[in-house]
Amino acid sequence: MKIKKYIIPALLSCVLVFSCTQDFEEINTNPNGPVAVPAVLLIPSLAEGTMDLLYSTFNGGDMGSAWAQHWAKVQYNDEERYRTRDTQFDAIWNTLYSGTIQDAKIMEALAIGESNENLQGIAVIMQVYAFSVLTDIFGDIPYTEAVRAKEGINTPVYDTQESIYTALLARLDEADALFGADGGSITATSDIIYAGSYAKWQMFGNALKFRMLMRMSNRSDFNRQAELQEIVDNRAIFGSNADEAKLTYLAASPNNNPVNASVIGGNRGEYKVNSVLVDMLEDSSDPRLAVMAQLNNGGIYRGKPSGIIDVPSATWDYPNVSAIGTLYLAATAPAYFMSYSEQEFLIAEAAKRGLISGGDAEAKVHFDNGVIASFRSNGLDVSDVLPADPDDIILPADIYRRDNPYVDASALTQIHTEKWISLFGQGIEAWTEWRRTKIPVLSPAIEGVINEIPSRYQYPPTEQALNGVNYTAAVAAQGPDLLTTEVWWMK
Amino acid sequence: MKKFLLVCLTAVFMLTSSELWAQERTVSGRVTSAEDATALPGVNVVVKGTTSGTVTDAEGNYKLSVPPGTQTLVFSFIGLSTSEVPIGDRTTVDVQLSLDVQQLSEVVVTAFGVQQQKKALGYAVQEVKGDQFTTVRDPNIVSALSGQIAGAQITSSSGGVGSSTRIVLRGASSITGNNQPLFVVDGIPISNRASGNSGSGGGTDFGNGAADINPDDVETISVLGPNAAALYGSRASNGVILITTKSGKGTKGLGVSVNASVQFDNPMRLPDFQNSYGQGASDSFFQYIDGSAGDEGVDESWGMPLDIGLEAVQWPSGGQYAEPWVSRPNNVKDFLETGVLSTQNVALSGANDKGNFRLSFTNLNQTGTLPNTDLTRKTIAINSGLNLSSKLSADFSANYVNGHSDNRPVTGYTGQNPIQQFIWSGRNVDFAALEDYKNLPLATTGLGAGYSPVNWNDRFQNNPYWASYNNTNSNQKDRVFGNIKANYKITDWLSVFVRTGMDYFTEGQTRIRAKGIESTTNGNGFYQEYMETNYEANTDFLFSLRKELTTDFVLAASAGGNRRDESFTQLTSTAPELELPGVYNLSNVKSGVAVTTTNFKSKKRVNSVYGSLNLAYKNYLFLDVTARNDWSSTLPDGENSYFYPGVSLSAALSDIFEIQSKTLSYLKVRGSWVQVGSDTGPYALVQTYAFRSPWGSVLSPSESNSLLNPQLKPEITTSIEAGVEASLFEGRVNTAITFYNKTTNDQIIPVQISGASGYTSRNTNIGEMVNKGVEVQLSGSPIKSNGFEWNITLNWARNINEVTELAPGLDALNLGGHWNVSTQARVGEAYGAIFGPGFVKDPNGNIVHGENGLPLIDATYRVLGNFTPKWTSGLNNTFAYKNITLGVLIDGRYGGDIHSMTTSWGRYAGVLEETLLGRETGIVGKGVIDNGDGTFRPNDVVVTAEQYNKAAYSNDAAESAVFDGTYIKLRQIQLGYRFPNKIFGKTPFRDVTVSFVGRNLGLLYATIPHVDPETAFSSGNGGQGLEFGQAPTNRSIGFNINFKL
Repeated sequence: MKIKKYIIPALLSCVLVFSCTQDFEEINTNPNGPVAVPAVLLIPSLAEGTMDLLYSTFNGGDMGSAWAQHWAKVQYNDEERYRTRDTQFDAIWNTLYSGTIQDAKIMEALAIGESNENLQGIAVIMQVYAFSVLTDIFGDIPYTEAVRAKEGINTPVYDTQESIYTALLARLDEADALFGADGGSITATSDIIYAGSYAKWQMFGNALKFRMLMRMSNRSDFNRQAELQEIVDNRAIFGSNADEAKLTYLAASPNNNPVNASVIGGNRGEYKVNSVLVDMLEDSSDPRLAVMAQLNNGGIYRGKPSGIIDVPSATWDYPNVSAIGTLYLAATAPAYFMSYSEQEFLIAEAAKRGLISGGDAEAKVHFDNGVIASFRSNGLDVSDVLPADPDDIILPADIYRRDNPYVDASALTQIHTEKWISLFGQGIEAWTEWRRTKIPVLSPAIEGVINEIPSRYQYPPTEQALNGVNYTAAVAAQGPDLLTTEVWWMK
Repeated sequence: MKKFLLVCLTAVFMLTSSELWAQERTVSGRVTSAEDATALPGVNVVVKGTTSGTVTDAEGNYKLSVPPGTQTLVFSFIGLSTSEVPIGDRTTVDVQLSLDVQQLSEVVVTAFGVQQQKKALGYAVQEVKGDQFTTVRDPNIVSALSGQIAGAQITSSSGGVGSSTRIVLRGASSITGNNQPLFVVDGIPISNRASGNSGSGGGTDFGNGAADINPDDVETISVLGPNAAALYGSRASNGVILITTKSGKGTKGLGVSVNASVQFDNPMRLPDFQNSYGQGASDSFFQYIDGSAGDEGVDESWGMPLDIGLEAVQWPSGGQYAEPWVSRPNNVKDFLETGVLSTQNVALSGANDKGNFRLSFTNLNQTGTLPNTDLTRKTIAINSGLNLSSKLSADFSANYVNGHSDNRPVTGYTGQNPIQQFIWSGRNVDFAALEDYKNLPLATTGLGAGYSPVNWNDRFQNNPYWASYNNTNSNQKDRVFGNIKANYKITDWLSVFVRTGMDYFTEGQTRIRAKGIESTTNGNGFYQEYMETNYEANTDFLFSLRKELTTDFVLAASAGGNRRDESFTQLTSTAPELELPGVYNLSNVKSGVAVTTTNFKSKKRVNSVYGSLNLAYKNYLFLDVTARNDWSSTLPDGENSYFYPGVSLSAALSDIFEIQSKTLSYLKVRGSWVQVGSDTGPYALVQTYAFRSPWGSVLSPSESNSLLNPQLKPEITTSIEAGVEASLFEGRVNTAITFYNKTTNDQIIPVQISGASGYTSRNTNIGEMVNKGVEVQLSGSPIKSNGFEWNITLNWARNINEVTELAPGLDALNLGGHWNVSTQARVGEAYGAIFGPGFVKDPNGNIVHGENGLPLIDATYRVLGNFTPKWTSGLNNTFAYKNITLGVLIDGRYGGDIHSMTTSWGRYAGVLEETLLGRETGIVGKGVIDNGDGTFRPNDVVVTAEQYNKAAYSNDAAESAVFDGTYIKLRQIQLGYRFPNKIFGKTPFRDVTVSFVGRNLGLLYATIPHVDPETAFSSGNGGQGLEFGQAPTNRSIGFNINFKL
């Protein structure tokens, strides 16, 4: 039949056209993002992503500075009263794991592929840093099986904090060995922390190791004193504020400091200074008070105690409580991974406690270094050495140092107290170090929902839902999933 | 469709009817529809017992010469009951014809626009006529379907102009993907993509794509369930809304029709506010200082009693002197304006034996109840057909839609949304006094200081009028969709068509935030330009064959193919802070701040071949087999081809067993089993880095939080349905009942995984969701006499949905959420579990209170409700008496919970009526106190109303704000009068009908307080079941006139 002659071929050719899968791969190739990048390009995301989180007023503010009693709020102070918000636990967990650690792990692999050991070292340090923050705030967390979804691990088991510390310290040793002049270049524009200086990254890694060893040092079974000594003796560590690990934010949103973005940009003026801080600095005529706090509407520095449900009230209101100092609210305020002054106070403590050699003499040197560095971080002039002639001691910072010298008998309290002051603005680290030292003595928030300052964060609720078996095991091992359960290094 | 048939038959009849008969006397008259009194053209009028006769003209008029002694005329038309009318000596015989139930299952439009006898279908198809949408107006045609379709859950998001509407047929089947049916206009799929970013935290709902369909151009809407729609492929697993636009077919000569309407909108429901206590935290003192520092900094109403002669320093005096402390019961109502919806349509159509055309222009203007919100939409539709030869014909249809809005309302919890401000407010605030914002002094505190006018509170809120006029979200949308089609009749039993069509639209959105706005960085405002283009092209062909194999067997078969290409682009540029106030250009970015620009592109192709085979036996037993194979670019090589078959059977039992009686005149059973395979979106296989916003000018790529999967395979939906259709009592009662079971397996889902795994989600083929249910349609004519007729149609559908499986070890997947509440797909629950913090309960279910008398919140979250309704129903009553018609549509749903933050924050802030309880005396919360030894005692601790409401209603006490969303709504009323044509004499006006209309007239039943339970933040899965501060649903009342020339 005539029709058949045309129809069958027509039909067949149509079927062929409509069933072909040619070009499918090209069509389905994503033009919106790269499948591969040079390792160094990941540094901005690592640095900014981490600090945007830790300096967020909802994290480092509400559950850091407020718990360390540097800050106090005149409204919306639920977290200050230890009534926490689950979504923030999720934010910290997910950002550090699937942001910082994920990117840093990928960066490590890329750097190995590029045979760039300096970048590899940076990637290791950033992983250790994020893991250390996570374990410090939660306790036991996934480590050995963490960030391995590509291998099919959706529900990583939790490791003990003790084993994580051991592993992280080994990683920092590994990082220290990687750095070197022939370790490969670091593009300065992408290295938004150290502008391409591998030597400073190396210092950060070692200072971080010192911090982590000290974190463990209050445990009765602590036996790694030799490593502390080895760091002080042989390793590159911070020598001044110029070396410390910090991200200096930029003037314009969205790269401005998160505290600036929230308090100034978002008009969240309820973040104020705490009366503990104000009272202490006032008592010692500490010139840092005028940097850390602003005058209230009565022209004085007035802090608010932690807690109190019914705010704002006539007693505690926006105008009559001192706002946080403008230096700390600036768009370009730095966010610290670790400051030089913290390192110095930790060395002073180690010397004073005999964890390293040198005793009070050594401790005093580092104590003074720490105090001087803290003044400089606060933009205050201070002499490296107190002028010999008492009449030449005119700088307020020098006067403060003269009136508050290192005293052997009370040195530990002094070191911890000065460190606490120096950590103003570094919310999570301030609270974490306070949990270890318990100095200065702080009272729990007034009308808090628990009657003590939290020892940890609760695990994010998504872990119960998405990693239930391992979560349950972790809670069984560590203790109830409460704010009051102590983490390993506190015990 | 009737009218289309009519014309064909008219033509056939005219050709075949005898031209010769004796002219003894002439009878004339008019034939109209008993249902709606419209003229019935093409009705056969025959002298009984002879072949002499005629047909009615376009106005339903006929004139017939009858031989002497003629006693009866027979009026007949397919689909209508034949009427034998004794004429006596009359020369004028007017007749009304009503629907014939025996033939009720006339032809309907099914897949590929094929018109099929309803009797032959093995699955349910529902049809709605276009005129349902053009008398009572809803600017969104999807909303206009409310109550009209069995098994359709239709949710209008809000009363904001241009807001989106969601439709789900037979329950949600996809856990995280699209759950709405595919919209097909004249054979070509069009996008129903919702543009906009509305959610609980703010954003703007720019409407769903199908809302661009102009009701005036719609001839019919066929609703095909998944079983009827399988040939449409992947996207038809949720069913198909098949829209046939009006054409010129059937017009005699040139026809002009005009339809115009105006409707006035006011809120159907506003929250019940209290009017006894004013702003502040203290019940004994209030003093305004500067907008922020004093009691006015508290945007709550736990303040001093109102209307008892007190005075206080308030904002209007700028804190200068005391003014009376009085209530403002209508302060919210007065803020809202009367919205106006006006629509005009003019259509020109014509037809002759060479072809037909229709040209239509529609203009829609709407202003919202929220100040300074509007929408305009102009539509031009062209539809034409040309008979090029006896074998070749061509069709062309095109629609151009131009949508524009100067400002759309903002949803949710943001200062842009005035409703938010009314919930966090003082009940003594006279909002109307803020209207003259141009003459108010500037605020001195807050981010608005120096730029925005003073408000009753400057700490959190901007002046709501200033905000409405200065912070705008405008859009401009241009859309073209249509197709060209050539049809060739190869032989009398074989034909083929080739068609190509497309849907293309660009939408530009401009977001302006003026300097001084509270919710932007440093209060500096911002300016954003957004542009997207959507493109979908479909080219298809279909061979159709129809052959009588024997006298008993008829074979129909078709085979064809389709190529679908989609592309999408997006470009967003933002000046995040502005330098100069009032200048809205990207270049006016604040010094030192960079303009950010991001873009996105995607492409997708799906090729398909398909075919169907239909075998009819004696016109009472029908077997239909379909098959389709798709190849999708989105799936990996090796998995990108997927085949899915279907089979259905229909048996007209009343014909087979010849059991027609007066009680049962028609009985049919049917059954169907189909599968539909689905693919996924573009770029779901290969991991790429995402670009974070740069660090200054330094590039910042980062690994995505979602782990893709190169080994995806297609999803499969299997749907079984069985049904029965019957006509009873001589066609007075018609019913169709359908049972179905729909299961979707291997769903492609971004499953949430522990963040500690390095990703927060992972793409996987997992999960199964089942929908079982029944749909019932019942229609009847209880009264039909003396020109009065009452018709009822009722639909009712029960759907039982269950998420039967997620990934191993995974209990739930989040769909959406706000504050501490999430909506979830949770194993063992219906889709849309509302999950969040509830109260601690004792073993008897009483709320446990602490020693302080306040309810305790359980730290472990639990299921508090579910947004999926249990059943939906619609009841339409129409009454016709002579030229008057009245239609009343009521619809409702049972179940479907809502988490209402309007109640939570409204009680927290003390603005709602319920917060009056115990203001003076205190409250003892109903429940118990734990004695600590396993026993409980009744709570007897008196707390203040403020303490109680703040403890029991807030973001972390979600249980108290979960309400049953059951409602019955008086959806619409239309009262029409059709003027007799004779009164217009020689003027060209014909068929003039004037109607009084009302829509969303009121809630006849609802248990949820304060808000319309029909609410959502968007038409997406994540926008359902949650509520805060929605623009109130519009109660719309107005008039409609239509006529022909």
